[in-house]
Amino acid sequence: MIGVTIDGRTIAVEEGTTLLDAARSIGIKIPTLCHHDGLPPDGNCRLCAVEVDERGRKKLVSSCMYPIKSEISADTKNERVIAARRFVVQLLINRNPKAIAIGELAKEYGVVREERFALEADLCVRCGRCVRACESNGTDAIGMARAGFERYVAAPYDEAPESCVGCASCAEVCPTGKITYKDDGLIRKIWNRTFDLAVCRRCGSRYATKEQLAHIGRLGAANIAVEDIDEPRLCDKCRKAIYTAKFKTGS
Amino acid sequence: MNGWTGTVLRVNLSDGGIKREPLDTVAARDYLGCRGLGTYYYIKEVREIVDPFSEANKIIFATGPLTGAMGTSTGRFQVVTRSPLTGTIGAANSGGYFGPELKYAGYDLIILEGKSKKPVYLYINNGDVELRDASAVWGLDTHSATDALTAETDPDAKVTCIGPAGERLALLANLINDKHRAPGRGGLGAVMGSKKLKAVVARGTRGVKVADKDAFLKAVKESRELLSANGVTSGGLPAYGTNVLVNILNQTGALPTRNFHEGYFPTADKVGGETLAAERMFRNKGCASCVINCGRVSWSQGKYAATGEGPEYESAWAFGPDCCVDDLDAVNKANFICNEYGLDTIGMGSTIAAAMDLYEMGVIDKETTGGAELRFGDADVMVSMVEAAAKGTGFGEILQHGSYRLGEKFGHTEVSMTSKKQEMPAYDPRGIQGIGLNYATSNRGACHVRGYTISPEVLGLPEKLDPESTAEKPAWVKAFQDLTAAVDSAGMCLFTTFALGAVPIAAQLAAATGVPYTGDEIVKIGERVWNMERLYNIKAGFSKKDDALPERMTGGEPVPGGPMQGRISHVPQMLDVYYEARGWDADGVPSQAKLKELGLEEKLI
Amino acid sequence: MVKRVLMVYPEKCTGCGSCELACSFTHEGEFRPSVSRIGVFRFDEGGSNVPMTCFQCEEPACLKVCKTGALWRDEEKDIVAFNESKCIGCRMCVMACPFGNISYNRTAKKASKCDQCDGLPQCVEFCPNKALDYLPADTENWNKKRAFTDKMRRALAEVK
Repeated sequence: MIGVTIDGRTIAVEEGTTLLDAARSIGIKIPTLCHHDGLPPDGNCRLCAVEVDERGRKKLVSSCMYPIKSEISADTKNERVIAARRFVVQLLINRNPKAIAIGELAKEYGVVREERFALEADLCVRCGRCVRACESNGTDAIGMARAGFERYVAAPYDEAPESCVGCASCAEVCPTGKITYKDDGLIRKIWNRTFDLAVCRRCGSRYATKEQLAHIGRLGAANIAVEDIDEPRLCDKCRKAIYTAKFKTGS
Repeated sequence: MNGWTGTVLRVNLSDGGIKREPLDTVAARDYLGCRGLGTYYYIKEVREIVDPFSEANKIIFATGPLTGAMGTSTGRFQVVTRSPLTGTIGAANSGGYFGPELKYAGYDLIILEGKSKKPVYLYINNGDVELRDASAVWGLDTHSATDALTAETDPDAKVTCIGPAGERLALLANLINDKHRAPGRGGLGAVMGSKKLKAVVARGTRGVKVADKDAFLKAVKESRELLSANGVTSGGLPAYGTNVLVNILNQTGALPTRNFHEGYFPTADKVGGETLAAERMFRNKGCASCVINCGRVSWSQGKYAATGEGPEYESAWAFGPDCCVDDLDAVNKANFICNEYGLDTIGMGSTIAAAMDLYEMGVIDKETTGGAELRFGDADVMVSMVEAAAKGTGFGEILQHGSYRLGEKFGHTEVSMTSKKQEMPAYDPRGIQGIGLNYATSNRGACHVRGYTISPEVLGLPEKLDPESTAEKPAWVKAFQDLTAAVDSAGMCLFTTFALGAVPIAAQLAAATGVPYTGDEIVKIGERVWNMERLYNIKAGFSKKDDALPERMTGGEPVPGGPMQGRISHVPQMLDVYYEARGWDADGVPSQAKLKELGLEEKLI
Repeated sequence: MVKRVLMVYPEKCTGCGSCELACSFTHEGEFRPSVSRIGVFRFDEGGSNVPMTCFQCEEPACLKVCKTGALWRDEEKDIVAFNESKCIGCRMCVMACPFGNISYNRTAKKASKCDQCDGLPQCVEFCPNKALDYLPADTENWNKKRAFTDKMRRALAEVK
């Protein structure tokens, strides 16, 4: 265990704990955007900046990417930290004025949009959560294209991504609602691709894309056989309703 | 909102219009929900006394602030309209799972107005509400219709529907929900039928919130402890159902037998709850959030082989002792038929008993009945008459409208064991004085669940009263009627009141709604509801002369034998004291002072 | 910490649904069976009711498909634990669980499963019929639970 002092409070943490997690464990709130507990840290949004004092050397770090390896102290609220975050929020609000999450941050940090520097309004904050979610699922269907201000999320060659299974994790982790998916009747539309939805044969609910079911089958879920993915199936709830019926009195 | 959802759904069956409206929160505070709030809305909206089958009549499905929450047995809802059987206000309470589902769909009340030209059903799926063609299910029994409708909508949807009896406007027609539960009495199923509304199908995935979570759980736990400590709610009811009463009432000598000629049935045990539990019951069952679980999942065998639920005590009595039948299979079968065709069991059994009376009097004969010899004690004839009434065929065409119309038809209304044209349930008012007064004064015609004084008079809860005494009964009847109206309005099951008084019930209501209700206040709400119903009935033409029991009870025929031999009902003597206890004048009209006290002076009626 | 097993006795269940209400109230703050982590299945025939919730499998299929570490085996508590903050909403676990015992909450964009209320399961607390119980995981209880889940597995083999 290593002693770490955050905003004047000293705690002991396991070596390698990120500064963000350490701060959160004692109830200190640090804003994040690209961070997701279930995904590898990326440190690209820089919103979680804090000031670290490493034996007298003070520097700004992204707390989500800073593993604690030695006794340090950190300040999450000083002027330098706040100024750094305001700078980040300023860039974000300039570009993403319609994103609710960004609007809330701007309000919190007292930042207003500078129209003259604003790029075309956009919902994407380039946090890359979608890309990392897709990677973690092993589908690797999307990535970041280009660099700098022109960076954007895309499928390879801007085509509908081949390896996408339509699970919509990218949409679910998107902090601003930029990525959307729509289930319309028997199909799901996402990333310019159309997926057939599996329909529960009992309740008629459309509960997953067939590609996702096949993907889960390949990952080793015993109840889904990849070869008969088109067979009429049951959703999770109806599966339960049908087999629990085997426990009826007298059966 | 907390407790309530805050939304009322209005559906016009004439033009198909569907609207959502905010709940009248002041009325909700003063009338709670279910019976109270449903009746308030009915009276306020319909204004005039209308023909129950007219387009101007409305039918309201109402949930209460506790419906769908984890209160003690709070899975209730109420159907309110004008009763075609009695002409009084008709409010019918039911359990099962339908009420909570309506609440989870997001509604406190469903107001159904107008009249459809062709058969329809209402499908409520959270915010999506539509009237759908019901021609495919019109004519089906309640079980087939329920299966067809859930298959067509959602396997998790809950259904309240009418059977063929309601479609034919039989005056004994009930609505049936969850296949085996009935908002019973008053013939309200016929009002659905007159509107060509086969069913209301509900599916809801939303939640019910409460104002103070910790206080609510605390109140629920305290109430649950009282219910577990009570022998009736934790012992008799779960083990034997309401039918545990057959033997108890028989021993008291107040088990109406042979169409109320007698008060004791020697072989009653054969159709009692103990026999049912031992010989014809799969298991007990609970309505939503029930801690009592008095439901019976049962069967009948032999030539009457069938499965279903029940019978309740009153149903077992109606088809059993009242018809002098002691064949449990026949009783169960008759009960199942009523659930499947949507008929009221008490009314049906009692009407057959009245027909048997007429037959044995020689007023009707085989020619009238289409060949059947309607003799007391003939189980086959009893079941065949239930079938005929269920299908509306032969003599059943007359029987389906209840014993009063039967008596009228043959010029002998004295065989109709009714008050306000509704059949008396299974407690002989000659042997038990309080329940007789409750029958006579009930706002929906003879009814035991409007003021169940059997609790003190027979079961000794909350204290034992002499069933034969009269002096203190008017006050007890009033107290039970008022508390019952409050419990009915809360969305809680009446059976909790064997163990719970007003205070623990008020505690659940207060924590759920955030309105600081006390025990006294909810009893006052009950009294307000009771007086409101009374005002409606007065406007509908009811008066003191209707607060009466059949002459057979009040002197015409003293109990001929058994423990209560020689007794008669003293309702006429108790009535004035009752009016006084209610703050009504000598004609049974609420005084201005009383109306003011209850906040009813601003005339609803 | 004494390991315990959540036992289900369908033969004692009256179908009242108190477990669903207690569960949703504890986890979602409202009485809302549709998002309860335990569900009661009610059948017409014989009035049978079967309460059903996560079996806390030793080799869970859900865990196999969860790639973010949101699901893991907590050996100390002997449950399949779920860390909501790590869930990315892919729903793979929902489809992988052969028993249908994980569901997806579209509003929260997260999976949802039984966590046995950290050792005080509220469904057990509020079941009025002892159809649910939370017992020490001794050999006898463990074998009973095993027999129940094996029966489920056999039943499941007949259902696609």
